[in-house]
Amino acid sequence: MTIILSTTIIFSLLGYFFSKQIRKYALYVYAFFALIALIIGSQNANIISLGYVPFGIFLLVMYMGILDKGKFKNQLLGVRGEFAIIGTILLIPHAVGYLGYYFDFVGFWTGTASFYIGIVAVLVLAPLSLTSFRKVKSKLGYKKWKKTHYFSYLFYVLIGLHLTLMHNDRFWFYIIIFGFYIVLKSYMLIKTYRIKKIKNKN
Amino acid sequence: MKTKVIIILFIILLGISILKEPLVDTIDVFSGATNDTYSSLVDTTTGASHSHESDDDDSEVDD
Repeated sequence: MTIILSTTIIFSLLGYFFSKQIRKYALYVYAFFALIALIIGSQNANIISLGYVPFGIFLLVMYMGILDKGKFKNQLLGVRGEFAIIGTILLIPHAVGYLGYYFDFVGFWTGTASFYIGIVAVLVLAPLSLTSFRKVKSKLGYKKWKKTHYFSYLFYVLIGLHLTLMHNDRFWFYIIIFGFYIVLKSYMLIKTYRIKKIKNKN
Repeated sequence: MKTKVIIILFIILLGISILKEPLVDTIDVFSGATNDTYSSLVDTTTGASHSHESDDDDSEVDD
């Protein structure tokens, strides 16, 4: 969990202080992380191929939406798409590595529930990441883009299940992280609904 | 308020995980070595080395 949370903190600081630069040089940033994924991801089990770093990034992307309005949230939301793409790039070695392993040694149809949920999560993530590119987003139009990105909640659920069903030492950490998110998101949705209701009455 | 709560939660979780996960294991996994703290599912599936045991232990005969 140390690596996951450290990644979240490092990326939140990067997002806060270098939001403009990350957006401006996004393609170079992607190329840099693709190179890292290619070099480190092809080696034995490490912090990227085990999925710690990409999850740390997705954790930030997930929590960004429930932060209070203000400079911190604005700066981070400015690079939400970029961070989601970086997370996806770094997730590829994890997905490919485990898929290859299961095909070669375990057998595709004899995997754990966590494994299959992981595959579905990657399939859900693919269109989300693709539409996170600014050019694709502008071609798609805001309404379609927004509709597509409602599936990000499904992705969060799948990731939560993928991690908790592993039943490893970090089980309670995952429960706290996802449980806390659900509580805060629900609180936020209820609050927004109440405000809308009051506005409609007036 | 929410942001503060989230930051405090993450700091507490980070503190607990630092205390729970040995620093040596964290450094190890950076160099690509899996261990008790950072083991992959692959390890458990293959039944590779258990805690503090070598993979070769089974095949070796004690002198």
